Amino acid sequence: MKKMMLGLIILLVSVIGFAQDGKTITGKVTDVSGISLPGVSISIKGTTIGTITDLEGNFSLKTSNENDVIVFSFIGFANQEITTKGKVTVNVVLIEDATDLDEVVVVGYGEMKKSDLTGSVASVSFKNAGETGMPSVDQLIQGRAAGVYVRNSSGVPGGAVDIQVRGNGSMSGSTQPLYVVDGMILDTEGDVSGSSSTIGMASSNPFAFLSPEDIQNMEILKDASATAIYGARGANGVILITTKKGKKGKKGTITYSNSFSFSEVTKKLPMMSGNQYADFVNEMDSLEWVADGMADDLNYTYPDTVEIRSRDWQDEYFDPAFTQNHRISFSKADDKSNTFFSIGYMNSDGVIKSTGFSKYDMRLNNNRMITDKLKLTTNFNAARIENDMTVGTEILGGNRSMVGSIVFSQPLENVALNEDGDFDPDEMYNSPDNWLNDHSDKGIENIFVSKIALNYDLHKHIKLEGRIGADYKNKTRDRYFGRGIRRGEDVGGLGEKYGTESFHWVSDLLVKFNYEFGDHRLNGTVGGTADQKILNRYKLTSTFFIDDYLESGAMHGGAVQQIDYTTKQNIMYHSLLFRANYSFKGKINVTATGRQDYSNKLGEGMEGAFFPSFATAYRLSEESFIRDLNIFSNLKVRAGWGQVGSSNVPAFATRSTFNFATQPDENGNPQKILVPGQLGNPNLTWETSEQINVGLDFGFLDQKLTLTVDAYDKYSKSQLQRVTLPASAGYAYQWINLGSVQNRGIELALNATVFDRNHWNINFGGNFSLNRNEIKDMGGVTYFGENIGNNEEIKNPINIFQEGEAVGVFYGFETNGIIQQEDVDGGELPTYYGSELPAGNIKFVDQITEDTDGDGIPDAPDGNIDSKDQTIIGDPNPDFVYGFNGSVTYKGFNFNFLFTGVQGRDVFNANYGRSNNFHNEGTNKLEDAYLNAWRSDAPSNTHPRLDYASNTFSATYTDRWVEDASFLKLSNVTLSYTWRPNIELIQSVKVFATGTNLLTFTNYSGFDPEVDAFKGNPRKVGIDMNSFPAVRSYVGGVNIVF
Amino acid sequence: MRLLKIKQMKNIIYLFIALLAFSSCENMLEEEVYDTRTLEDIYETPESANAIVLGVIKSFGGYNYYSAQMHQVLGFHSGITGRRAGANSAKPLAQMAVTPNTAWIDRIYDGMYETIASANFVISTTVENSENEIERNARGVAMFSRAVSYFNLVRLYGGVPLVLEPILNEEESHIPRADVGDIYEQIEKDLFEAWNSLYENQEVSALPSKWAAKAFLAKVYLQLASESKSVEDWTKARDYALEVINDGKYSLVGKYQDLFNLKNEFTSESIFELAFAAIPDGGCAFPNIIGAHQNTEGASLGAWGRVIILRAAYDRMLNAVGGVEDERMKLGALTSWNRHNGTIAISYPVKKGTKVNDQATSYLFYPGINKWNDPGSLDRNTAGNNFMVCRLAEMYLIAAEAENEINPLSQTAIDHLNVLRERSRNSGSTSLPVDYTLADFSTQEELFDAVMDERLVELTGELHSWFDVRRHGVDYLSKIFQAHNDNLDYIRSSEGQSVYGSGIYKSANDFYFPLDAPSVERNLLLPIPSTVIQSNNAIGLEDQNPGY
Repeated sequence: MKKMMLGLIILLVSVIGFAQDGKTITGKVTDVSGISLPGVSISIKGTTIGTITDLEGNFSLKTSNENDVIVFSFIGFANQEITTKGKVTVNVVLIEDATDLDEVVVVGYGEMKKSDLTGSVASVSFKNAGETGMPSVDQLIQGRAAGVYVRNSSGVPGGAVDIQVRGNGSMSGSTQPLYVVDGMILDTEGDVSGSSSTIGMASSNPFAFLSPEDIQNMEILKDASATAIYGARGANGVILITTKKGKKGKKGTITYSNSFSFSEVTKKLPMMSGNQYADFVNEMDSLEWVADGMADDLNYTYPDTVEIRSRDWQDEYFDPAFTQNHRISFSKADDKSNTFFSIGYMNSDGVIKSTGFSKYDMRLNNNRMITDKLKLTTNFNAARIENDMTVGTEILGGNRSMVGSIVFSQPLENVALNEDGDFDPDEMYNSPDNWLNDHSDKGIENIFVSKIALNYDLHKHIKLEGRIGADYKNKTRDRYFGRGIRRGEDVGGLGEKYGTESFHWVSDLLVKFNYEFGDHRLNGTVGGTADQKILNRYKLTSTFFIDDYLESGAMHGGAVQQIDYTTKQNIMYHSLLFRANYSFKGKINVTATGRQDYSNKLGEGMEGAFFPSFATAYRLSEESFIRDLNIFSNLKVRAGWGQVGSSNVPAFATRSTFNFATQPDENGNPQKILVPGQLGNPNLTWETSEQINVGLDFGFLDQKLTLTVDAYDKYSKSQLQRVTLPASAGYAYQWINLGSVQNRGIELALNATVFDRNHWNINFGGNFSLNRNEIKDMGGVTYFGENIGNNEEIKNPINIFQEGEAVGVFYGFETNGIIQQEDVDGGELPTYYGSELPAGNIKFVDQITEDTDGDGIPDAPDGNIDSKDQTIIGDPNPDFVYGFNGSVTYKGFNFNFLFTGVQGRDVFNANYGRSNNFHNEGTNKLEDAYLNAWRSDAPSNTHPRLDYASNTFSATYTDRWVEDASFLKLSNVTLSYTWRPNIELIQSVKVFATGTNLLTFTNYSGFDPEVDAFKGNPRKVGIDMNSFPAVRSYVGGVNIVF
Repeated sequence: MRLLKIKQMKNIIYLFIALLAFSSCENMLEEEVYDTRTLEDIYETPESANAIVLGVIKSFGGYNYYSAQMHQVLGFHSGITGRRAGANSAKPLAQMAVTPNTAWIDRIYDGMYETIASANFVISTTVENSENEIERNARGVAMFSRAVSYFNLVRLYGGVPLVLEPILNEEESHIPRADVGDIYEQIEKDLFEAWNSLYENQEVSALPSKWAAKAFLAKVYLQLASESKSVEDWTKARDYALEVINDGKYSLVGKYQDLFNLKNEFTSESIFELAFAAIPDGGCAFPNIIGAHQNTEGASLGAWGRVIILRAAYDRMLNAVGGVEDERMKLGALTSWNRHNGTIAISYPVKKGTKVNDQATSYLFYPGINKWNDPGSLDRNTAGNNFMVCRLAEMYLIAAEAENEINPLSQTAIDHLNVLRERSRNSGSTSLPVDYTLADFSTQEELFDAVMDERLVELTGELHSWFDVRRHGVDYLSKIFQAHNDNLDYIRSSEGQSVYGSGIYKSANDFYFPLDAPSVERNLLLPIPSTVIQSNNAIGLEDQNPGY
C-alpha cells in the first residue's frame, strides 16, 4: 500500500517512455525485518506473464519492454509496483498491510476475511512485540483497542491484570473475558482474584506464560454476535490469541532478542518523618488527656530515653529494579510444513526490595501436511514462573503486608510503640526490616499448554477438524513468617504451603464447509466440544519450628502440623455449536451462530441453555453509487444481535455443604465434627446477556484513513450473584440469579497514515470508549458488596448495588470540611448518633431524611447524623477510556508513542483513609494531615484534629476517602533503529530504547490512579489498599535476525 | 431458549465426544462433591449424624461467639469491665458511644445465628418426642442451644428475627424483627422441650444435660422478673434455681480456684461448659482477650489482656469482701503480678505514699482478670481453657435475689449468699469474707445491693456483668455509670495521685460515661448492626433500636 502512490507515478512516467528490448530482471524480496519472502507473485503489469519467488525470496523474470512495470503481490502485504527502466536488479522490501481488507482474522472456531466480518472485532497485531521489551501481553493491548479497558496498573512483577470488554456487565461474577489461545479455550479461572478458588493463592496474570514475542496477533471479540459462539463463556468478551508460525525461507530464521530495563516507582507517598512522628505521638498523648478532661499539664516526652533515628522506609525499600529478558526463536517453513520455536528467559526484580519474578518458557509450533488432505497442527508451550515475595504484597488485612508495612510503619529505627501506644523495643515486629528478613513468600507455577489438531479435506467443500487441547498448571506457594513477624512470633515460626493443581482439557470436533455458487458464498462451522477441568487444592500449616533457618522448605520441621484443607473440583462443559455465514458478492454478509451449552456447575434441569446470534453487514462501498462518490475506499454498515451467557460461579454453588470443625473430645483430643457450611442453590441457572451492536467502518484515501464506530446496548439479566445473606439465616451468602445490568456505549477507533513518502512513514491512531452502566433491576432491594478486609477500621463494604445506579458505586457519608468552633457555638450542628461532636471533627452532611409536611417525601434534615444520612459518594466506573498512538518511520528509524487515559473514575483510597486516621499511634500518617490538622489555635478546614476519635467512626466511610482518579499517561515511547548489513550471517539488527509510564497527569494522591486492589472482583471495585506502587521503566535492547 | 430436547442434545454431544474417544462416563454432567459433606449425604452414616449434633455445640465455641467476640463486646461495654489501652476498635464500646458500625457487634450477632442455624437443621430433621432416645437427645441439644442463643440475642439487641426453620434460599432469609415477648415465649418453649428430651446424664460431658435446661429457665425468669418485677416471675426464677440446687446433680467445688484450673474441667459445679483444647482449630481465644496480658507470667501465648476491671467496680468488689482481696478477687480482679522480666507490676489501687519496687506502666493500670490462662496455648486464638456458660453458684445468687424480692430481707436469701462467701473463705488464707447476717441490712434494697455485689465478686469475667447492670433498667445503669465517673474524679484529684508522678495515671481508657437519660437508655441495648440492616431487606433503618 505504502508504495502504491509512488508506483502509480512511476507507471505514468513509464508509459510515456519508448519501448525497449526485453531483458531479465533478478532480485530478492524481503519483509521489513529482512526475512526473505518466498512465494511472492511477480507479474508484468497488464500481462499474464509472471513468476513467484523461490524459497530464498529470489526471482528472475524476463521482461519484453524496457518500460515494463512489475507488480509484487503477497497476501498480507501491500502490493508494490516498480518500473524496470534502467534496472536489471530489483530488490524489494514488502510492507505488511494491516488495513488490507483481504486480511484474514481469527474468529471463534474459524477464520474470516476482514471484509466479511459482521460483528465487532478489534484486531491488535504485534509487529513490534518483544522488540520494545514489553514484559507482558496485556500491556500491548492497553490503549490500543476501543472498548477494551485494561488495568495493569500494579507494579508487581508478573502481577494480575484486569481486562474489561465493554463495561462491567456483572455485579458479582468475574468480569474477565474468555481467553482462547490458538483456538483452544484456556482455563484462567482462579488466575484472577475474586474467584473463590484463589483462596490463599496469589492472583496472577493469565498471560504470564505467554511471551509477547511469540504472538502473531490478537483479536478481541466484543459484541454478542461475535462471542455467542462461545455461548456461556462469551458474556465478557473473548480474546483470541494466535501464536506465530514458521515463515518460509531457504534456511530457517534465527532471531535473538534481549532487553534490559531499569524501573523505579513513580511516586512516594508524603508520610511523616521520624521527628514529625515523635512530635505527633507527643501531641496525641497530651491531647488525649485534654479530650478526656484529664490533667493538661503533662510533659510526656516520647521516647525520652532513646535517640530518634529516622527511617524513610519508602526511600529504603523502593529500589530501582533491574529486568532482563532474553529470547531465541527459530522459524522455518516449506511447502509441507512450518516450524516455529522459541526459548525465553526473563528475570525481573520488583521495585520493592526482595520481590522478584523469573520466567522460563519455551514454545514449539509445528504444522505439517501429512498427506495432501491431512494436516497436523501441534502447539506446545511450557513455562515456569517463579515469584519471590510478590504475593506478599497482597492485601492481608491491616498493615500486614509489605507495602502496608513500608507506608505505615513508624518511621523510626529500633523503637516501636506496642499496641498500647507504649514504647517497647521488644515490640519491633512487622517493620519493613522484619518483612524483609523474617518473611519469605515464594510462588512457583509450572504451566503446560498444548494442542494437537488434525485437519482433513473431506470434500472440496467440506473440511474436518478434530483437535484436543490440554493445559496443566501446578502452582505452589510457600510462605514463612519468622519470629520477627508478629504472626510468626506468636507461634514459633509459621510455615504455610498452598498448592493448586489444575488439569483442563478441551476437545473440539468441527465440520467446516464452504460453498460458492455464482455471487453467493455460504460457509461455516458445525461442531461439538467438551471441556473438563479437574482442580485439586491443598493448604498445609506448620508451627513451632526449632529456628527460622529452613523456613517452609521443611514443613515437617514444625512441632504442630495441620492440614487445613484438601479439595477437589470437577467442572465440565459440553456444547454444540454452529456458525453460518452467507455472503452475496462480498457486499452483503449475514452471519448466524448458535451454541448449546451444558455445565455441571448449574442446578439440575438448568444445566443446558442455547445462545444464538445474528448479524449482518452491508459493504456500501461495493455499490457503484458510493464508489462513484470517490470518497470511501471502504464503507460498511454492521448490525448484530446475540445472546451470551455466564456460568461464572465456583463449583458446588448448587449444593449445601457442611464444614469440618474440631471439637475436642472428653480427653482434649481432636475429633472432627460438622457444622453447616454454605447454602447451595439447586435452582442456579445461566446468567444471560443480550447485546445489540451497530457499527460503521469507514475507509478513506485508499484505506490510509480508517474509522470504525460502534454503538452497543448490552443487557445482562439473571445475574449470578453471591449475595450476602442476613446473618439470621445462619449462612454468610448464597449464589442466586438476580438483577439486570445495562451497559451502553460508543467506541471509536481511528487510524491514519498521514505521510508516506521518501522513506518517511507517519501514522497516528486513536481510540475512544464510552460506557455507561446502570442496574436496571434488583428486585427492589439494595445489595452491598463484599467486606473490604478484616481490619476493623476498613472492613465494611464500600460498594453498593442499587437500582438506577451504576454498578458498585461507593456508599458513605458526605462531608463538608471540619467542624469549627463557630459551628459548635452556633448550635446548629447535627448530632452524631445522638452525641454532640466537638470542633475539629469531620463535619458530616445531614441529608434530607425527615418528612415534615407529611407528604411522604423527605424535605428536611433531621438534625442527627446516622446511618440514614449515607448516600452515594463516588462511582468507580470510568466515564470514558481513551488511547492514542503515533509512529514515525524514516528508513531504519522508528519512533512511536502511546498515551492512555481514563476519565471520570473514582477510587476509594483506603490508604488515604488510614493515613489520616489519627487514633492509632502505632502507624505513620500523611505529613500534610498531621501538619495541617485542626488545632484550636490553628483551625484547619481540611484535616480533623489529632484526637478526633476517628475510631468512633471506624468503618464509617466518607467522601473524604473518595478521589477522582482520572488520568492521562504517556504509557510508552520507543525509538528504534534497524540496520540491514550486507553480510551473509546477519539479516538485520535492531536496537531500541523504550520508556514506559514516563508521565502521568492526574490529581489522584495515591501511588497510581490506575489502581484496583481487588482485580477481577466486581464486589469490591475501585479500592486502593496496600497496592503495589506503579513503576516507570527505561528499557533498552537489541533484536538480531540471522 | 431450547431448540432440542435436552436428552437429544446430550446424545448428539456424546456422539461427538465418543468420536474423540475421550470418555464414556454415564452421568458426565453430574456434579460430584469430593471434599465436603452435603445436605444429601449428611445422614448416610450414624457417625456423620452425630457429628452434626456435636457441631451445634461447637458453634457455641465459634470465634464470633463464646470463643472470642462475646468477651470483647460484653467486656468492653459492660460498664463494670472495660478496655485496657490499645484495642482501638474497642473505643466506641468502652466510651458507651456505640454506633451500628462499631466493631464486633455484628460478629456476635452472626455467631449466635450460626448456632441457631445449626440447631434448626437438627430440629428440622428430628421429631418431637421420638421413640428413639438418641434422636430425642439430639433434638434436646438443639432446642437448648437455640434457646440459649435467642436468650443472648434478645437481651443484647431486643427483638431479633425469630428463625425457627432452616433457611433454604435467599428469598426466605429476609425476616423482620420479632416481638420481644414472642422470643421469650419461644425460649421457654424450647427450654421445656429440651428438659423433656435431654438425658439426665450425658455420655459426652460437653453436651448439656436436662438440668442445664432447667438452670437456664431460672436465668430466663430472673431476667423477666427484673423487668416485670412480677412476683410470679420471681417465684419461677427462685423455684427453678432451687430445683437445680437441690435435685440437680451439681455441687459446689471445695475451693474457688479449682473452678479455673486447666486440669479440672467439667467440675461438679459446671452446668453448661464449652470444651476447648490447645489443638489446632479446637482452642479458644477468650483467655487472650480477658485473661492476663502476655507480659504476665503464666499468661496465654500472645495474650492481649484487653478486658480489665474498671476501678469503680474494683472498689465495690473490695468493699463487698471486707477490704481484703479474697480468692475470688485474686482471680477476678488481679492487682499485682509477676512480669516476664522478673519485675512486679502493680496496678490500682496505688495510693499516695505507697512504695513498690517497680514502676507500674500505664497499660497495667487497671486490675486484670486472671481466671483463664493457658501457657500451653498454641497461639493467641488457640488456648485450652474451657468456658463455663453456667455454673451452680449462679443458681444460689438467683435464688437469693428472687427470695429477697418475694420475701424482703429474708434470712433464706442471706443464707444463699453465705454459701458462696463461706466457700471463698475456705478457699484461701484470709478469714474474709465473713458471713452476712440480717443485722447487716436495714432495707430490702441493701440486701439487693449485696446480692448484686456478690454476683460481681463471684462471677466477674464470666459474661454476666453486662446483663446484670442492664436488666434492672435505666436507673440502675445510671448508678453504675455515675460510680465510674466519680472514680475518675477521684483519680484526677490530688488524693488519687501516686508517688511516681502524674504520668502513672495516664490511661487512654479513662472515659467518662454519658449520664444524660437518652444516652443511658440507649446503652441498655446494642444497636442492630449496620451489616444486618444492609443485608436483611426486612429490617430497615427505621427499625433501629432507640437512640441509634
